[in-house]
Amino acid sequence: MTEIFWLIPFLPLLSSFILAIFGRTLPKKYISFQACLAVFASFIISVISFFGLLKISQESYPLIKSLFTWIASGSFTINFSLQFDPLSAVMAMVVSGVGFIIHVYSVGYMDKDKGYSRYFTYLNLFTFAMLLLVMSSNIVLMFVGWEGVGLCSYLLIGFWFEKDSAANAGKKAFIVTRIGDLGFLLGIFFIFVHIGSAEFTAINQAISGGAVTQGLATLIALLLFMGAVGKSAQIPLYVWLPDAMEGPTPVSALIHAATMVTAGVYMVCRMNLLYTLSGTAALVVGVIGAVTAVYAATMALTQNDIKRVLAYSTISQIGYMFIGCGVGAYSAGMFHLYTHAFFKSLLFLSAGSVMHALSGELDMRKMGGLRKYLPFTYPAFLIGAIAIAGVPFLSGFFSKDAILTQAFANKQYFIWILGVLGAILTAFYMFRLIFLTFQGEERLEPEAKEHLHESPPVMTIPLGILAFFSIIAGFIGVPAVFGEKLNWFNKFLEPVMRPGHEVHLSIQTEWLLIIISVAVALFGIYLAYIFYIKKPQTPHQLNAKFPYVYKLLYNKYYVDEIYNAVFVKPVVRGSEIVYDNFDLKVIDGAVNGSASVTGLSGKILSYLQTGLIKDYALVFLFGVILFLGYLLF
Amino acid sequence: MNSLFALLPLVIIVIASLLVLLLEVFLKKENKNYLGFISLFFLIVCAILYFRFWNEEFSYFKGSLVLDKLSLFFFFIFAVAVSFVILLSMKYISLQDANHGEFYALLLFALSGMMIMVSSSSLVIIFLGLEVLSISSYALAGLKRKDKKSSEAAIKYFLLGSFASGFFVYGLALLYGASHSTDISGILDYFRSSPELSLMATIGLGLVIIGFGFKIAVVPFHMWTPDVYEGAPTPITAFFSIGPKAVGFAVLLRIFLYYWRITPESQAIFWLLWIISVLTMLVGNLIALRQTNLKRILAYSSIAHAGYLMVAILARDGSSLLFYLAAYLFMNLGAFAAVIALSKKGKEYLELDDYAGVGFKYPWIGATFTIFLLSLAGFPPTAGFLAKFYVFSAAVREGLVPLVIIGVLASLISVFYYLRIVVYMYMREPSREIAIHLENPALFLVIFLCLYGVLQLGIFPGNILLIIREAINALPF
Amino acid sequence: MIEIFLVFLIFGLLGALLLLMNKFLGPSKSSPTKESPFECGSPYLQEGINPFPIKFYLVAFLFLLFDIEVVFFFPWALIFKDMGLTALIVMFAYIFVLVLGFIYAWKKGVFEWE
Repeated sequence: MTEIFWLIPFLPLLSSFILAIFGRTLPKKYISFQACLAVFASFIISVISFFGLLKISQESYPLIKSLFTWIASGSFTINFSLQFDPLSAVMAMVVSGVGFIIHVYSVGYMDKDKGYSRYFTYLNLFTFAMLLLVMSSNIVLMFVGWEGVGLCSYLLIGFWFEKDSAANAGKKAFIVTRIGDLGFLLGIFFIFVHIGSAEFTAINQAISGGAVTQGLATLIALLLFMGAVGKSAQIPLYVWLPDAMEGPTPVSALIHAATMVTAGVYMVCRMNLLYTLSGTAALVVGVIGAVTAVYAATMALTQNDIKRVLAYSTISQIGYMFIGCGVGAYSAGMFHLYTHAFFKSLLFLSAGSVMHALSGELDMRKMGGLRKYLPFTYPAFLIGAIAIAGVPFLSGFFSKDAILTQAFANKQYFIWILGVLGAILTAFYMFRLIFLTFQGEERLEPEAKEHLHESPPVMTIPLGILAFFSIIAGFIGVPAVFGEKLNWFNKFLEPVMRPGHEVHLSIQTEWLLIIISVAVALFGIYLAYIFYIKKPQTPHQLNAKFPYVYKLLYNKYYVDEIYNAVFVKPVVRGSEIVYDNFDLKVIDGAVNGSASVTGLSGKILSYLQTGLIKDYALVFLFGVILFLGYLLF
Repeated sequence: MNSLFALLPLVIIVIASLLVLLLEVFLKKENKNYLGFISLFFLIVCAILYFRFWNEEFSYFKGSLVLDKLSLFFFFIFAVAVSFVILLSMKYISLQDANHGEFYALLLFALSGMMIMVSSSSLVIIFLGLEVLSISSYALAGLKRKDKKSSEAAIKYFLLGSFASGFFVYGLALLYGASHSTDISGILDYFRSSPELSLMATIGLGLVIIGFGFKIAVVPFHMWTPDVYEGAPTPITAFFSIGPKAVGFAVLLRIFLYYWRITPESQAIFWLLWIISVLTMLVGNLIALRQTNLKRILAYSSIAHAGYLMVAILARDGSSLLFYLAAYLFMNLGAFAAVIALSKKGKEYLELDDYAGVGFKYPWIGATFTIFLLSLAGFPPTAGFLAKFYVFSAAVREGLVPLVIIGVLASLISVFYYLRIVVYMYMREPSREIAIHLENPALFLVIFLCLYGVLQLGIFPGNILLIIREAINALPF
Repeated sequence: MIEIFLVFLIFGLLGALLLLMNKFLGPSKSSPTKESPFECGSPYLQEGINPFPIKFYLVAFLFLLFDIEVVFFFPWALIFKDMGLTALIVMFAYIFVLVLGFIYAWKKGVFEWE
């Protein structure tokens, strides 16, 4: 049954295609049925293929299915081929599984929207592109998926394009990630030139065979990482992600939390031999991840928009994944990606449920005390928050702990300290969110309160499923202290990501690290409790004491403004100057001039076309005479 | 391998055409659509045969009829073109008062002529095929008997065609006189073995080129094209724009792929073709700017495309030529299909003004027509873009940079008139009411298949390129 | 070979010259009277070109066609003995096609005068 794995991406594509053509005429019920079914079928095939993968020996990894030759130019050919190996299997299951749940949730969430079929067309298309990204067997096809998800992200952020801010946010996301893609594309070109093949297997062979020097590896790895920085919203290209929250909330959950933004992590893991070989590039990945993890967390502290807090939290968590990759613990990074997909989409969907209940309210200052009105959403949100904060035995705890332990074990103490600091902040801002939203006094707008209601089952059941997985998903990657054999996740990924040098810590140190993580998480939660429940006046006192710090954080370090002033304004101004002077005068002048010249010559030439047969024969004869005359002389 | 199998595809087509011709007189007028289906059936049988024959090489008549991969590839292109034309015609000929059963028979005769031409290696046999093709074409052009323009087209085509055939035969005679052979390979051997190029042979070759220059409509042998294209029934115009052109280039390819290798590059013939190519690209595109009749625009566009194809001949690159022809087949037939769709009983909408607002009134036709036009203009990700790209990059590899610059400029000019149609369709208020006959599944099937072809070749050209490369590599030299 | 070219050149130029002379030298002042067919000064009574039955053409055409085709029998008869069975088959195929043409013409009603 494993052979049919290549169907996985194409089912959503087919569905998207049908919806794109017939969507307007189909009944809503059918649209939602088909869209969800396509993704669910992909999920089932992924699971079947996954079990098939377990059965066969590791030597036959990766399974490759070449569908057709895509580009053939000279000796260089690129096949449209898909591959299935442990890494692709994990990603395919996460994408289709979480994707399916979010599709179902969307049925409820988008129920009243007039762009219903358009929404599901895009969402299916996105699922296709993302699956293509994680299953392609060469880097060019991966780039197609990479751009495909970018396109869908643009379309879905700007889904409500009547709103100016949504359209602008879509544009911003597209342009900012494009800067990173430039690096990615250059990286692909360097791979072409120096390795001569785009297939991952060939690239890996070239690297392990010593055909790639360390300098070249660093260059390619850093260029590729540029793409990852853009797509995964790391410093300095993170600015688009918070704005991307203009899109519908399920979209934020699927694209901007669980799947697309983690594509960069997947790419780094896919090319892990390259990063390991380079060393420098790995360090850059780790440092950028660590700095982003803390930096984004600080910005999350002061935001009042519930989705923006979650957006910054996503940036920060992806930073953790990159820490894992940077210190050589690729499977730990993947593990965090996998658990994060569950709890972050749970948090987003719960936030969506809160918005739904409050008729679209996003501002936490107008919430509070929602616990008793939303008996289902509240525990779901709470589970998500506990998981992300790193409280023991929920999924987030295991994955974050794995990353930090590895950072410590590889003697990257600076990164480790940043990681721990980030963990405190994470616990703090998540519980600030919980306390402000669900606990304490009610600060609701009167009319919002009237319509206050729990979401329909089609939305709450997905929450339940995600909450369930947020709790148990971590148990497949239990740390070594509980038993050497228990870390099943690592073992499964081992054929793809052979760790360069296994570092073992003593049992005591590991225990110590675990205790520190737990303590840090609990401390963050406690701090939030003090700040927002016990002594609600503390934040105000702190504001008064350090007004500049608060202002700096609240305005997100003014980075948007700086980018605007440094990059956007000069470019816009410069292009205006060029437009006024060069375009209007030189080019338009030349174009108009040449247009009139071509028009005139066309006019002259068409006089020859008299419609008289004798003239035609004469022109023919003249042609013959000139022709022969040329041959003779 | 010397085998009667080499004759099989040809015999099938000839039998089919005779059968259709006979049935025509026995069938009642309302049953004549069956003839189309019968023709289609035979075409499909033939197409299956081509697949079977792909890995074998048959020849007959002492090697003057060769079924190599190149001819099979062209057979396939012709079969697709003719089947599309038949599908386009089924409704059209009854709506436009051209419902004569001979229509299908003549098309099949023309097809057999083309098949003789591409599979033969002797210029005399090629001339035979050329005449079979030409005479059926003259009759096809005048099939709308009551339409004056159609008759005018037929007579113009006939007179100028005979004129051109004369040059061809004269050239053939000179070539035979010089080389004592009518075989392409024999003639080329003569060119190689004689150290000083004899004038007689060169002029002979020149006259043969003129003969084909007429069929493929290159400047200055193109004057008949717009009038004939305008007057002929539209599906036949579509056929003229691809069939005779492809066949002419097939023969030129057989001659020149080898000829370039045995002659120095500064050879007079080379520069002659260079000039012809430049003139064709420029004149075709420039005159097209001023046309307001859709069929005339497409006629001039087909002249311009002959110029691009000539670039491929000059670049000695057979595979880009074949790819261009395959792409041109789909995009041009698609565009003509859209033009044919805009017609009703006894009336065709061919003026640009008729197209105002069509994009919104008939969104499907408008959208697909737009894609075909963009492809003709050479926008990615369509087949037209890749086709131009392959041709021009082959030319750059051969160092023909000035030619490529002119070609790119010419195709820039062409963007204007292609997009003008799109602008009319989407950005002009309709000035007159048009009502069209929409119940035409065969036509929409063609549009769909052409759309598929344009996108398949434009986005996933890989497999086709492999087949083409195989066909080119299988050539004896 | 230069002669060939000269022939083309001379006759091509001559053709062009004559056409151009017509265009430039001949005064072209047209009036309705001038445009009408010339009938010895009196107004014309009917179209200049009289239609006559196309049947003449068709019969003449078919006669020519079948007559010419039969010419091919003569060389065939000459080498018939050398080629044997092949010649017979080929000629039957040839006659078959001719007969088909004949049937076609017949059913089209070419031979019916009315």
